[in-house]
Amino acid sequence: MYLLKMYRHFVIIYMKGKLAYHFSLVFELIANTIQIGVYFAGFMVIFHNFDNIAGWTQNEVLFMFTTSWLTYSLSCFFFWSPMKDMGQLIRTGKFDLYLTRPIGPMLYMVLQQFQYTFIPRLVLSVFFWIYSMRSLAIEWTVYTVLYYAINILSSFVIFSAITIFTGAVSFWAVKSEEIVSLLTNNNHGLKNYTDYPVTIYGKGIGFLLTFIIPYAFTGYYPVASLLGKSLPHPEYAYLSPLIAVITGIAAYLLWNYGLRHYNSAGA
Amino acid sequence: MRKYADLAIIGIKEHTAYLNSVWANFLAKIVYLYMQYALWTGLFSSNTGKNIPLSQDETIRYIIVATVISTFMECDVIAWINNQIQSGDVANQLIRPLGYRSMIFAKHIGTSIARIMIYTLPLGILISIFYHGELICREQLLYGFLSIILAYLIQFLYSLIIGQMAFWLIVTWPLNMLLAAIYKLLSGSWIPAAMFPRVLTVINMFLPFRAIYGIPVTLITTPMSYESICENILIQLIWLAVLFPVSEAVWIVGKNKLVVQGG
Repeated sequence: MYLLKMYRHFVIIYMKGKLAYHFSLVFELIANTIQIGVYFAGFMVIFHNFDNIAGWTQNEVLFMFTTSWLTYSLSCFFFWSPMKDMGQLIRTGKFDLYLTRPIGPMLYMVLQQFQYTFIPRLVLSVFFWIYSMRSLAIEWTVYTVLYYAINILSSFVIFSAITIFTGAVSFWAVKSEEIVSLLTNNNHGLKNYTDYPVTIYGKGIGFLLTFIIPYAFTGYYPVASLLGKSLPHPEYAYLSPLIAVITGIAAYLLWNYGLRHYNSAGA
Repeated sequence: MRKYADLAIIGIKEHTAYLNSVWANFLAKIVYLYMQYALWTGLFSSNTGKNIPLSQDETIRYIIVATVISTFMECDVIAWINNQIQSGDVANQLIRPLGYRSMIFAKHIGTSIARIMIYTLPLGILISIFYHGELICREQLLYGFLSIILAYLIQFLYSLIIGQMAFWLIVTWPLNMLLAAIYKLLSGSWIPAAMFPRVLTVINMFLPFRAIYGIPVTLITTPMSYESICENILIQLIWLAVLFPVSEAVWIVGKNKLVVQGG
């Protein structure tokens, strides 16, 4: 409750600052909407000539990747901007400032910003999520709803954990922006691999996306199971919560370890 | 001329100053290319027997060549001009005894040369190791090169026009972001233009974007009749003929409207 109240204050301050340049804010939102909209348009164009990919219909793929995008956008509201800026904060020495605050630096960084630029992505994801769901034959029972909900939560944790990992790397490699971009860039990031069934990438990449950077658990495995697709290892469909716990703890430990060993770099 | 060559060298140096990001960018190209390759291969292998405008082989060749070309076709001119306007540095640039646009072009060429050395060539070598087949259509290679040069000029003029609009709009990045999204879809750097539905093909006919990727890449990868080759190159020439006076007009208007801020 106390945190919520603090967050509310921070968001108001942050948005006040942003609204001082309300033109730029509106443009940012419009530009983001168009950028994400074009991605969906491109997706439709790709499927214009084809019926399915690896046995998944267009709407099934759409359902899978909007599921993953939904949780990704939610995770980004909190973690994307602080972790992207970590390299910059450490290089300039601004991170030291956060260490002097009465709350933990991570908490402070998460609360003091609000990434409204992800709103278009979230809204469009919800739209296409509903759009795709109408044509899918998923029987929504108490069990499937619960299963889906737990996996959405896990997916949120996995995305956040990976983001925190990339931020924590800045404690050692001072330039971490490239790693962030390599993973999450809208054009060429590794995360884009999860927009399509993982099987199309072959075994090596499948392994990478399952065990090393577990993006496949944010959408592919749970949704495949929900849609009744045959997976080479059906048990993977139930592993998302476990992976979420593991990556969550690992990210937490790495962050704390980095924080303990951090000695300022800036002037 | 000597001075412009120096500017080009500055472009090269600036671009190679941060070797860390060079590695990351190169890796990003590979990540992207592999994703494209897997996606299209997956699509074709799950839809055998369907009537598709391009064959699997043509599509794969297309996306490989498009990605290779994109390594040096990318253009930072809009960002440069925006930064110069915001920092006020544009005033220093304008009082130099060299043409402002020629200076930018020289620097852009330098950057492109650096890009060719550090991205295009290594990527080309990697592809030649992993892709065993006829990637390019040898008979049309000469036209392909001509087309790439024209595409390069179109790309530059287009960026220059948008960048120069900052002379009175102060910031053009929202405009740029908007156009970049449309560019990404319509230029054919992401999805081969031949795969487009009819609506997009029609819209595309009135926009210069496909002259930057769609036309040169198709010329390099797909055999076509002599007439079609001429037609494609003619389209590029027409766009050059349209964009050049526009950039000239934007320059003349922009120069008079320019208010230098910063100090």
